[in-house]
Amino acid sequence: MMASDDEAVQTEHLTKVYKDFWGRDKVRALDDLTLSIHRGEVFGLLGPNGSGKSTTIKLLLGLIFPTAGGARVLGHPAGSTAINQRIGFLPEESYLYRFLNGEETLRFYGRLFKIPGKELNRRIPALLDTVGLDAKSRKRKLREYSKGMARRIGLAQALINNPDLILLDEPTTGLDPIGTREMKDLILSLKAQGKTVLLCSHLLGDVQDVCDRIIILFRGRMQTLGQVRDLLQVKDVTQIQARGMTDQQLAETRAFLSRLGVSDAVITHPTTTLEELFVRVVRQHTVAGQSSVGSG
Amino acid sequence: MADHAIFNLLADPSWLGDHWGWLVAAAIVVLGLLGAGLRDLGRFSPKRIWALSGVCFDESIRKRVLWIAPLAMLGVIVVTELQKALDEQDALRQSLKFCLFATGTVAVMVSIILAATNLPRDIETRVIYTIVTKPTTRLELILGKIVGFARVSLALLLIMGLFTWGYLRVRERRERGQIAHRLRDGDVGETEQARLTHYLDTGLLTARTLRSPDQFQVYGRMPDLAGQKRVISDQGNQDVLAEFSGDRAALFGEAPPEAPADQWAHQGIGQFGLVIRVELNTRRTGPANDQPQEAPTFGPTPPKPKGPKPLLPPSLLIDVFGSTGYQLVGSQQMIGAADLPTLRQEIADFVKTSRMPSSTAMQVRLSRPQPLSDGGQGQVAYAWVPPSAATRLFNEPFFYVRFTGASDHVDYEVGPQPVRVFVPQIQQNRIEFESPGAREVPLAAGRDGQPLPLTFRGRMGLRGGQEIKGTDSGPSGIGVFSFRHSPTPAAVNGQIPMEVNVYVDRAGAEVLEGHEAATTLDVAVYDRQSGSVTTQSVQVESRQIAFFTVPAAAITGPDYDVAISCPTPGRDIGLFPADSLQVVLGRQSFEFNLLKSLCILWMMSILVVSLAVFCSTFLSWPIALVLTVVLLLGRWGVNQLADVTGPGLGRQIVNEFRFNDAPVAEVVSTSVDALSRSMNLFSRVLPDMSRFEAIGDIEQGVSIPGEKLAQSLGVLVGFGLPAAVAAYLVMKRKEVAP
Repeated sequence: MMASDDEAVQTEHLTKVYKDFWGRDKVRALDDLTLSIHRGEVFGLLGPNGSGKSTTIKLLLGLIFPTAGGARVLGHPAGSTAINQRIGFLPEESYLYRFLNGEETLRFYGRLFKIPGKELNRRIPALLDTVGLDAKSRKRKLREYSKGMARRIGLAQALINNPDLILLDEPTTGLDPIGTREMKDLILSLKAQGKTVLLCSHLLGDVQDVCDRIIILFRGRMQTLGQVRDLLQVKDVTQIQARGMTDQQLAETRAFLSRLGVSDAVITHPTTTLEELFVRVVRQHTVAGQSSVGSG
Repeated sequence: MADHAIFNLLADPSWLGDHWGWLVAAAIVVLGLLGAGLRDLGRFSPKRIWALSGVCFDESIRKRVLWIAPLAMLGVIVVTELQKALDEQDALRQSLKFCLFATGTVAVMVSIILAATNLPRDIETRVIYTIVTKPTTRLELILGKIVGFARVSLALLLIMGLFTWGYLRVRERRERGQIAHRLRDGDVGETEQARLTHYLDTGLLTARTLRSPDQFQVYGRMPDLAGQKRVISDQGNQDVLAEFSGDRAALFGEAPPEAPADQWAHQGIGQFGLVIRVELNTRRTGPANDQPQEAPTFGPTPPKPKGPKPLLPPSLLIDVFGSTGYQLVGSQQMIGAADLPTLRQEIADFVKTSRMPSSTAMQVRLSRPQPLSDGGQGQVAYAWVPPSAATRLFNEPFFYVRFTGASDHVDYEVGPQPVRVFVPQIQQNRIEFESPGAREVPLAAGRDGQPLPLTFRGRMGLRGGQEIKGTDSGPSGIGVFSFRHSPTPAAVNGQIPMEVNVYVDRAGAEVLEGHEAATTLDVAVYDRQSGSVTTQSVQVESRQIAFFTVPAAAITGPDYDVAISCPTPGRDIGLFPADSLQVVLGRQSFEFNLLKSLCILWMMSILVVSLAVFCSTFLSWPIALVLTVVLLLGRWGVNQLADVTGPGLGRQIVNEFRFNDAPVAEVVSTSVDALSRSMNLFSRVLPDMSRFEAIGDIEQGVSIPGEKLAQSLGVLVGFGLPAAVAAYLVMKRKEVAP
């Protein structure tokens, strides 16, 4: 397989077939996947349940081994222990030791990276701040965490080593809209730091907001791959936006378009997204002294 | 070391067979780590292992595993308070045994359960996703688990050990207070007083380093230890064993290696039998009760010859024992005679009639004194083992010829080589065994190539000891404990401490303390270096250690003998070769001994953890749990079945179940034998858990020798390390995501 320095991830004809007890093919979870993820981009892995998204991530991390084909991650064979030093991984659910508290969890994973104690003392509070876990919740056992808090601590452990490549499997599952927005902001900030993010989700809105490129998988096979804006663009429809037009100006615009022969023009007021509205309302209350994070 | 191993291999290919378990273990470790795991070995990080182990430790602690310790302690206290002890020291020793048993049980059970369930649960809960996607090698993962649970078992052992120490020290203080009180009140007998005073002086928990004798012999009279003559007494109170080589070629003659057993067995002693020749001297010590009764006569009484009728010589009993200690040929199955012409005649009659004569080796009368080949005078007796009985020696690596003094009031004086065994020949219809065609069977040789010395034994008592007697006419039987190349005992206040532990019988019933007059033993210490003899009397109670001392001057060199006899009439004293007489080489603190015991238990726990982790890499936790227990107890289980699974089991089953159809019988027999062989083979690759013997010594107040720690470490390294490497190899190829 050709390795390129510009590629964070490369797969060639990557295939995974699950076998039954007798060694017969049971499920072809991933079939002949060839793709490249460039360094510094946010890449979306989309598809319905059972389409092969998680299988792809597991193959890239060496949790399972390919039946055929191969993959390279940051220039090394997938699953190589050495390259794990530069990878962060947030699984689809926060698979962490539930008897540890937030700080202990990060300290444990930090020690697996052999990060010195002093550096951990500096990095852990900063990370917990970044993911939005307050001082009180840091000392609570993970078994007492809400789903959203568990996602946040999961994300923190994925970032403990300041990784170059971050694999996020359904990162916004269980998060409230504020958390979702913060997660998306964080992903964009990671991108701004030059990191590569592989995002696996079936929440299309989230993917659309943050991803540069996406791939859509269905039944283990690649269906579409490309830039988000290219793929979403409706090429035969034109949208013109203007602020503060009067009714008179609207009527004249409509008449003008009619004169040009545009018969089915729609002129209306755009709406904001529900997420935008929710975030605005909650943030106004947060400023007023109420918090939604850390209460479970 | 390597040269030594290669030399062994070249010199003796069976070395490979004897050590194949170790070779497999070494191959797993070397090939596993250097072959498959070289890259992971290069990334090996103790810090990561410690981090992983910390999580295992924290998890166990937070699951309140250590709560088991106080529960076990409570159980120990209840049991020890209900116990019935022989004396104050026995009470403490029993308590110590319970404490350590509970400690070991808790540590092992907790280790098995935690280690066998942890990895499968990590996989099931998918926590392992976040661990193996870090720069953690699978080797570090396995070692992290093992170290983690080793830390848990260490914590348990330390807590339980601390409890054991505290509890026993408190109890010792209580017991010593009671002893002091009893001694002050004078409420003790003379024998007990000596023992209790010793307890007060040395403490009830102090460990001793004991030296057991290298050899134990029982003679009829106190021998001149510098000379070679020994005496066994009469009435079957002692016997003598001479050990001979069972070399098949020597006994049966040469045969092609592929020849079936039947072909071998019809040569040599399988054709002509075996001749045993015993030579010794006898001396009457009382009335000759072994003379033949005169037959009643009818009619006129014939005139009696003038002068006293010469006495017939005393009799012997001769028989043959196999290597396992079972009697192979009884004396009634041999033909005995005092001279060769009689023996030849008896054999000729036996060949003609196929009936054993009345003169079997049950009571072989010795010849009258005659010149012997060594120039001295002696009496001889012969016994012939017929071929049908002699073939029982076919599979014996060695065998014993035993002779016992059968007459009353006779001392049998035995030289250095009283027994010779021959494979005879028939020449001109006469059986010959000193002709060129016959050959002599060599004595079994020791490691130095020298013939093994004779074994003089006392009569085996009902309680398993070799017995000597105290009679009105003086002691009958002397037990001699020989110490060779022994370290010089440490004298305390110019005295060397010794211990004697025997049982005392009277007319078959055990003499218990306080009910009868004290039993006295005479102890004589023979110093081989100075030639001095130091004597001492010791009062003993049955199955109670009697503590006594001899002056430091009594033992000046590494070789010495201690002779024990009983002057108290009517007492039978049961002696055991290994531990009836021991010399105290030094003393050691209880704390240090306890620490060694805990070390052994910890090593056992680590092995248990390694095996459990290995099993959990490829099995679900309940099955891993069961397999771990099987691996731990397998060898012990097969050892328990040792006799059942021995050679010939197939034939035995065929006979038992009466398989009359020959082909079916053959199939069943070979299948059962193959199964039995496989089971034995399998058990040989399993760890020998009996090597982790942590309780026996400390319970007896004996300092645990360094060799036991080394043995435990050997088993841990020999089995734990390959198990860890095998677990790593399985994990390396395992897809941890379902």
